[in-house]
Order: sequence, then C-alpha cells, then structure tokens
Amino acid sequence: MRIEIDEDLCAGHTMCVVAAHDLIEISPETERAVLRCGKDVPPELEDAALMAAAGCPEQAIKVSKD
Amino acid sequence: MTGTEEKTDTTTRRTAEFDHHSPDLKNQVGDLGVGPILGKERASCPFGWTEAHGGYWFATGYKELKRVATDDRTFTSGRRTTVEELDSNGVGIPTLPAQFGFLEMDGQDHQVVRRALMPWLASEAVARWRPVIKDLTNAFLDEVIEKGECDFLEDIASPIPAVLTMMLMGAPLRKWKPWAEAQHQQMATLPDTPERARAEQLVGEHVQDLIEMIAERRATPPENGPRDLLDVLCHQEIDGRLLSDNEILIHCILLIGGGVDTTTSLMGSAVRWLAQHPEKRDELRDDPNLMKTAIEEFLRVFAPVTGLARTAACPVQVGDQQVAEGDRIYLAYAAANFDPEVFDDAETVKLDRWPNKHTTFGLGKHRCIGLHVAREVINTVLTEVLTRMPDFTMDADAIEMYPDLAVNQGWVTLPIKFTPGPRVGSEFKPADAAQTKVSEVAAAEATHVAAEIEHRTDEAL
Repeated sequence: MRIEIDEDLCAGHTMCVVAAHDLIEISPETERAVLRCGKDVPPELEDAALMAAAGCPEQAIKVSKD
Repeated sequence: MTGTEEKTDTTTRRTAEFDHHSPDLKNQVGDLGVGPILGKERASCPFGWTEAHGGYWFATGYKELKRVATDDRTFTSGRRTTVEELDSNGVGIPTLPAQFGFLEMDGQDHQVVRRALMPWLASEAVARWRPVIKDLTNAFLDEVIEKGECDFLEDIASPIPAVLTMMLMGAPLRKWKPWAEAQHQQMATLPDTPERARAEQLVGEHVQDLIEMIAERRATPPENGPRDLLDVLCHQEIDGRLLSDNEILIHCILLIGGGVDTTTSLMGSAVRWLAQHPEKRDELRDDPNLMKTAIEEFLRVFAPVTGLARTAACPVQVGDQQVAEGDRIYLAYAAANFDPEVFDDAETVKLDRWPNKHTTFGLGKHRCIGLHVAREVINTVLTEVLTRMPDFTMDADAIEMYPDLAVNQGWVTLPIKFTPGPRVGSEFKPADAAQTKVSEVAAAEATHVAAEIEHRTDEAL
C-alpha cells in the first residue's frame, strides 16, 4: 500500500496524526502534514493509513493498493 | 426566535435572537452541552446578526464558520487602537479585559511568535512528555483513590494540566495550586459576586507571580540556547528583537489560559457524560481501541472553547449576507460541531465516529498551538480513570456548570464516587511540588527535539 499527501490541499487539521501518527506528522515549520518515512505503508499500518485518508477534512490524503 | 429580515441603511440582514453570554443558556443545557442550544436556529440562520452586546454576526453553520476562520486577512483577530475605539476588538465580544497574547495578533506579528513556540509544542516534542503526564496522573489519582470519592474537577482535571503547563513553560511548581485555582475560579464565578472578587484577587496574585518569574528569568540567560517556553519568550530573538516584559507576560497568560482550564473542561465533560451513560463508560473501558475516536467525539460534542470572535477588515460577503468593515463576528465552534450538513446524526454521541472534522481547536492560522498536549493529557487521564476507577458514578444533582458559557463550557464542580483502590506511587508529590527527575529528563529531550526542528527550519530558509 502507498500513501500520498497533497500539501496544497492540507490545511493543518491534524486528524491524520490522530489516525496514523506512525506514518504522518505535522511539520512545525509549515504546520502541514508530512510523511515520516516515505510513501510505502508497512502492512501493520495499513488500517491507520486508510483511517487517515478517510478522516482528512480536505481529502488531501490518497491511499492506493499496489 | 425565527430568523427575520431587517432592513438597514446598507443591506438586508438576517437577524435572530442570539447571545452567547446569556445566563439562561446554562439552564437549557442538556446531555450534549451548549452546542445544540447555540445552534438551534442554524437551519434558517447559519450566519446571522444579533443586536446583543452592541450588535455582532454569529456563525453557527460549519461552512460559514470555516469561511470566516480560514480567511485571516479579511477577518482579523488583533486589537485596534483608534481614537474612537481605544484597545477594542480582539477575539472577545465584548473585548477581553487584557490582550490575550498572540491569539489577539494578526499576520506576521502573530506568525513569528507562533513559529518560535511551535517546535516546543510539536507532536515529536510533546511525545517526550508522555511519562510526565502519566506520573502526574498517578500522583493526583493516588491522592483520592483510597477515599472512593473526589471532585473530579478540583482533584484531577484541574491540577494535571496546570502542573504540566507549568513544567512545559519552566515555571516554578510550588504555586501550582493557586495558579490552577485562579484559572478555574475566574470561569466558575459571575461578575459582581464575592466569589468573583476572590477569583480576581487570585488572578492578580497570579499575574504578579508571572511578572516576578519573568524578571528572574530575564536576569539569567541560558548558556546553550532555550530550555523551555519561558526561555524562548525571554531570551530568543523573535523577528530580530527580544520581546518586552509586557509582551512576554501576555503570551504567558495565553499559554496558561489556553492550556489549563480548557483541557480541564473537556475532561470534565467527558467524565460527566460517561458517568451518566455507564454502558458507554464500560464499552470504552473494555475496548481501548475506541479511545482515539472517542476523544475526538468528546472534543466535537463538548468543545470547551465555545466560540471566539473576529473583526471584518473590509466590506465582505459571507453566504448571502453583507458584512460591513469593522463588524464583529462570533465563531460558535460548539454550534458548528453539530451542523447536520457535516456530521451524520449530529446529536448522537458516537464513540467510533470517523471522520470527525470538528472545529474545536479552531481552523486556520490561529488553530490551538497546544492541541498535541491536550490530546496526550486527555488520553492518559481518561485511560487511567477508566482503569483505576472503572465504576465511577456521579450524582447528577450535585454537578454544576460554569455560570457564563460564552467562552468556555466547563464545570464548577463534578463530584464522583468509585470503589476505592490502592495507590500506585508517583515521583511528583502534590504536597511539596518538587521538580521530578522524570520531568527533567522530558524537558531535556524536548529541548533536543526543539533544537533539531529549529536547525531544520534554519536550513530550509
């Protein structure tokens, strides 16, 4: 599974951090969501990735199956 | 109370009866707090005008609130000093008694202070404080656990965020009790009462303590860069200069005011609701995976900051309404969180609700700077209460809400009962309030994280 964040759409709501703090953090510099370690989602974090995508108020997170 | 159209010189305003300070609000509050009451005219009037407090607009619709909150150039938060309106506006209707730190600033002035503090409140830095939050929770639960009863507000929900905020700032801990009481009592009392006079005395002493603390800190610059929020405010050049003593003071008051009683109120509301819905209390206790979404749902339903205001910098259209330059707008976060256009079954508390795009931390550039701290505290305290006091109950007749719910919906008192349990021990001792090793370690680690973030930012610029 791959995850992508559209930085232009992100408005800093922080809901993705609630859902998937192991995958995503809020940059203290830009106050926008950034991936912690790349686009590949480890299998054990797939549910969290889906939850982050579903929970984003701006629909800025896309998750795709390989 | 139906919305009516009123002809004015410039436009046709949609008006409704609305007063976020109304003493009657408290009497109407049911299971879901003040949100549904503030928003009851939303269907016909999601953005309207009221004549209360000299006249202002109110946004109770999600879309309308978001439109105003995220356009911070048009809708300002700063205070104005003009000949006619000395020190007016800001985020309060009526204007707050003193400038509420950088929350009442705009543009670059606001941004530079926020940027300076942000590394210390970033999720990475806040995560280092987790063991401290656990230790404080153990300490204050230990104080009451053998008794089988306590005031959840005074004994648990108020002291934990208060002591933690002081640790994050680097403030001396010995005054935690009067400081927490000052924060709580100014919300829990009505103007012109003996209780308010006592609260004002506490606040006065609290401000005097802060002035002394700032003077002491200014006299002792750190050798190797800032160690805490107070060092950042006292010794870090922000936008090319050091802040004045008064600027530091108003920012400290904002950090304490924003950090302490709001988290207190939210935890109070959550525990009150769980006590009155024991089946939901048990469900949450038995399924820790629910905690994440449950916290967001408590934040949605019981937004502790009921609403804050803006001022229109120029004539502007909001929906079909024409707002004039200088008009005030009240953003009713607690009400927007019940907008059925955005939240399915909005008046039902769903512990697994997701997505949940509540407005409780605010939207846009003024979003709560301490939201990661708030979520950590709420998570730890609710988890520990459910674990150590699993059968807690509350006498619905003994609980009491704040008398004025305009800025903060919280609780004067929330007595709970539970089966007594054993103490678990803690490093922090409420009686002597000495610094703890665990907080020194957390502070050092958070300092390291903040310095790394600073370094990264400098490189990026």
